[in-house]
Amino acid sequence: MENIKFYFALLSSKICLSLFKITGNRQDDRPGSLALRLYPNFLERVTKPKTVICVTGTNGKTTVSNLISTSLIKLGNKVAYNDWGANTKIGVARCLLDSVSIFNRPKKDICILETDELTSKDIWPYIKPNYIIVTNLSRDSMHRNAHPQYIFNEMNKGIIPSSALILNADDPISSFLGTNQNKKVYFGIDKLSTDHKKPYNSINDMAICPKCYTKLNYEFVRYNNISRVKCPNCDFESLKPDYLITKIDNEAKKIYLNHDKKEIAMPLINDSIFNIYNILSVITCLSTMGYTDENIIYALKNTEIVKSRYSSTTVNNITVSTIATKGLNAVATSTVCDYIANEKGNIELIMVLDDTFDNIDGSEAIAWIYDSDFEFINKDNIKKIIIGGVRNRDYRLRLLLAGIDDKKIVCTQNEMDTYKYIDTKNIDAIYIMHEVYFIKKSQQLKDLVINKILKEGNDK
Amino acid sequence: MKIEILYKEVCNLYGDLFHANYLKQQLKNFEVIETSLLDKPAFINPENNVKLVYLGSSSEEHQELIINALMPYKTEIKDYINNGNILIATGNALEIFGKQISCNEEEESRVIPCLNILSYETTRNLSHRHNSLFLGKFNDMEILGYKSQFTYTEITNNKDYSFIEVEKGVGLSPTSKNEGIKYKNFYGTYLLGPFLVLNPYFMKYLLKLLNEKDELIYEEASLDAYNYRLKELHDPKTVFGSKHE
Repeated sequence: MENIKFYFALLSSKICLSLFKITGNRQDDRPGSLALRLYPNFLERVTKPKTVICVTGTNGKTTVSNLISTSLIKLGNKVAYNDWGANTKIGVARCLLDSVSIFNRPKKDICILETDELTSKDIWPYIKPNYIIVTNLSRDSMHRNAHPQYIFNEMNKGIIPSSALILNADDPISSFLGTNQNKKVYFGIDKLSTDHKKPYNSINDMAICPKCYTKLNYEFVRYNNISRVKCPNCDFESLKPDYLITKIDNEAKKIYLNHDKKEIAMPLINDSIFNIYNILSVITCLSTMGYTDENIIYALKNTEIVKSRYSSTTVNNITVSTIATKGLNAVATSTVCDYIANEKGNIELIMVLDDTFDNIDGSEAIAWIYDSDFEFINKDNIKKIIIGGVRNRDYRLRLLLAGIDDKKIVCTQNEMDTYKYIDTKNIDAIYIMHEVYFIKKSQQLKDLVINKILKEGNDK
Repeated sequence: MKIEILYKEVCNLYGDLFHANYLKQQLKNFEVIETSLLDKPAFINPENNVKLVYLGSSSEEHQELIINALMPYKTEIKDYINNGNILIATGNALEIFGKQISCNEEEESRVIPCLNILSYETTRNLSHRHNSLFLGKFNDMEILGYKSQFTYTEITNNKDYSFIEVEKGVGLSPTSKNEGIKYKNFYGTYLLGPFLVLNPYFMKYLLKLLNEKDELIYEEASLDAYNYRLKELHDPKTVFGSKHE
């Protein structure tokens, strides 16, 4: 009877999936939802490919999933991947439908599953991943994720002993995931000239030793909780990376990696520190899977990182850039503020950060903006900050409390009107800092800014 | 005159850490003492003349550390509150001053004894996060904020600790008509915001309690943001119920 129920669920969901594909709705999760409704233990029962890799973490999981999927395809594997961002149980079921035949026989060699941090515990025990990559863990939406310690505990509930964990040694939170039974492989980046000696963000989720609660010492702080720590009172310290980047050569586009007492040069496909971590996690996973250095270099060569979250165009000597940040996420927003604050020349900043989803109920919870480091953008070379959206009054107050002169701040209710307030004279760069779901509109806004520059010219 | 911010290294969640920054900007004439977990709090010694103590949200694990850190000074804390000094506890910090926290987690059912200075008890359920908007009234002031918590609190022994009367949203517990705890000048609330930044009239009330001029920094901008949000919360279409659960 169980068999009949399962095959009925599989067949029905596969038919449903085919219909969705024919009608151009490949990314619809409803076939996955149907499979789980007809057979609640679907994730456990469906045949998984020989290798299942799960990718999770607060930031970077989509990029890493993309990179590893592209690499494994280049290395000759048939890969199933939930590349449409559906990272909960339903999306995973939908993806696994793709990786089996109607007879529940595997059609793919490898399945790459981006999984949501909070719901991973409802997925991992059933799909039994061979490898779990955790990019990092930091503060995210308070509504959903509460705080990093809570997410850490929830994730740990779902980690099975047979999964090998690929962990970021420079994140003193997520690197301690798993138990002694798990194989653990750590990646990290050696001290950089841009590192800080102590925490410089207003919030710090790794301030005290988790064992004896003494204030931690820092070998370096890269950003937020990405740091190397040591407790002055007990034996708690950051873990040693098995895969360590010792040098980043931006000019030669190479990273130098130490592993197994040898140094090897790998392609640097993106020079932002976040993406170097992402690339490193992929290298570590591929190497742990048994691929040779030559295989990995081949796989990464000519690979690109999806640029939907950043774009840049120069017109009349003004560089116009869009840069996405994650709504309700103070760490992501502080990182973007830090990035812009370190840029040279005269800058204007357009901020459109209202969270579309949180605003649906009529008013957005904005506590997170008080965890974000808007103080970073209190700089002389940032000449004007134009805030668009219904929460503009809250952002204005936040910027004033960050010490930013009210004369620099312009507020408008409509995000798409922000471009009207830019000055095109004596400006080197305009940044459009936007919420991640504002990507399409941010490009339209960028076009409006560019048109205004072209119309008015730049006398600089 | 002094104010004391307790345990910034752990009481730093959900925007609450900014209260330290805000109070510093607002109370420029006050000396600000920042006390860490391993230090003895200054306010427990009356000679230190601490006029206001602030304690914010923390993780559940860190909340127990705070209880342990404050437990040796329970009598002095009680005296501090009974003498009419100001103590503000936001988020789950309010729970620390009650009798206990009962944990109804799947894996672990246990009771965490708290300072037992005030008569209320908290129930925690980590598999249920309550998120909602809030609108209420205190002394003719409209109070607003958000809730994001794993806990509910019930007042025991028929004590009247009424702080904010619920107009829309949820109080200390789903059955309570009141949000927060007020006893003399102890103000505890689950409301996040940060509470003092989002409620300029309450901040003015606090300034008066401290015998300060009730003028806010960036008052015009504070009131502008507050009034707009108030308008949204008065809108019948605005949903106050729990979301993201």
